[in-house]
Amino acid sequence: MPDRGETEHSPGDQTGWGDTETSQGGLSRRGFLRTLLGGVGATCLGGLGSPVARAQPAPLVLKPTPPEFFYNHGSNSEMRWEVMANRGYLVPNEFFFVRNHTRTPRVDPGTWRLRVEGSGVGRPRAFTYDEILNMPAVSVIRFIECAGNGRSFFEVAYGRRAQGTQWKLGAIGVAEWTGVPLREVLERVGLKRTARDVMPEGLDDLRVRRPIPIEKALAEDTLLVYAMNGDVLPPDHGFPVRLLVPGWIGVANIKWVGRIEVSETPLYSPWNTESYVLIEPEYRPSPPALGPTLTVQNLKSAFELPWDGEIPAGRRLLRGRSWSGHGRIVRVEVSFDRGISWQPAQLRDPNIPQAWVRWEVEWDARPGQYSLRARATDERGNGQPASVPFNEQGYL
Amino acid sequence: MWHGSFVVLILLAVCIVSPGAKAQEPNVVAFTASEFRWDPGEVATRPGPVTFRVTNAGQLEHVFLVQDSTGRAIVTIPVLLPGRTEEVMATVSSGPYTILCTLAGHAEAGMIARLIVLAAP
Repeated sequence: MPDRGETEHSPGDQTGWGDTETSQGGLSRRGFLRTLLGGVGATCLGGLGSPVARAQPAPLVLKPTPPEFFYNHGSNSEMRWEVMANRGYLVPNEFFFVRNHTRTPRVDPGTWRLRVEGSGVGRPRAFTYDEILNMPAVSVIRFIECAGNGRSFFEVAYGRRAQGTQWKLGAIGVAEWTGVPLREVLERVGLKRTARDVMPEGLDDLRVRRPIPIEKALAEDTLLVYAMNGDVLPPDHGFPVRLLVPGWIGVANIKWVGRIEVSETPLYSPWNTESYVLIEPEYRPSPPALGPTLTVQNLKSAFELPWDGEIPAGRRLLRGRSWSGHGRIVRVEVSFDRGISWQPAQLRDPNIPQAWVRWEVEWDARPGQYSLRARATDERGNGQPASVPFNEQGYL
Repeated sequence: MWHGSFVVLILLAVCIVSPGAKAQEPNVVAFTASEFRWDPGEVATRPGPVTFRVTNAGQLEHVFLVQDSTGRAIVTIPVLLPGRTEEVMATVSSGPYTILCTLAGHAEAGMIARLIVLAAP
């Protein structure tokens, strides 16, 4: 239950926010080499050495996802928002949601290579794990959110179920991501001025891949990530290396990346033509895509409370978090009467763009049933709409 | 009493001799989904009403879609959860049909099968 007592557990809160709050919004430089390599080597040798019983098919998700902390939807595990009640700014790795299109692959970092190739580069080559770790490192704090976060509410609002995992609001997490800017790798392969699309591809058994435009690929905070919250990137979150594409829908942040294609011509995959597109009569298809492709994540807010939960009556301090793919949140309002009246919530430090802001609001909670709402506005003036048009795959 | 039996006998006779009353076995075509294939990968059947009985023996959710040779969707099972068997009926005519899972990347990974509907000789 939320209360005034506050325990900050996250290591992020101890690193001193002065380090990370720069005018660029949360970039800092850190070395991250020898201890990481040692830890990883030990883990992998242990894993490869032990005989594996083949009676069971490989699990879809490798880390434990107990029902007290997660809603389990097959290959996807949704964070319960009450887990973040009174926690620090970052979501610990063990509570971070998992979104898998298929099962988590096990990748040997010793034989892993990142191939970077295509018509948009002059010197295609493969990089080893050591080579990636030896490049100048950067750490940023950003959210990663599934494009379908909130999808279950289409059925509530329209009586019609949108296709896909029926997430509530827990397909979101904020972490400190450490890695090398993608730009650094692209420069080393002779990126051509004519390059236009960059498509990272995963080593999972579906080879999930989705192109981003070259401008986004070259952003200073678009990273090839190998560490999460100060630890080696866990397998379910993309070990050995994943993409971080700040502010964009989750699928852009390709896990277990093994190849990057850079092209002078537009690139397409099932994940920007058949899915992660808006399908409904008012959205026009742009062939080969079935509809407009999704890019930046929409604004959302969530309370650090159990869904359909109970709290004791009395004066309470309700807490929540809001986020936007476009930038920093500047205002949050809360309604206790289904949107008839709104009152401002107090924003708490830190407030990092394309991560989230924590907020709190006092409530004199009388006994009864309530529908609590929160709406945020970001620094670009984007707000949270009261509703969005139905679209078949349940986005926005 | 023989009056009642006579009526019953006539009814039976009608059933036996009237043309078209021969009972057809229901036509069931079964598919099993797994990651990432359909079993069988190819199957033949006769034209007419068919019941598709589809089992998901995999660990992921799948979709079952039948398309005719023009690419038009004939019938679908939009949600096929792991471990479940669902049935859907359709009427098929001679020619080739394609069985697909429409989830992104699944057909590309192998979840595509052929159904050949053979005209009766």
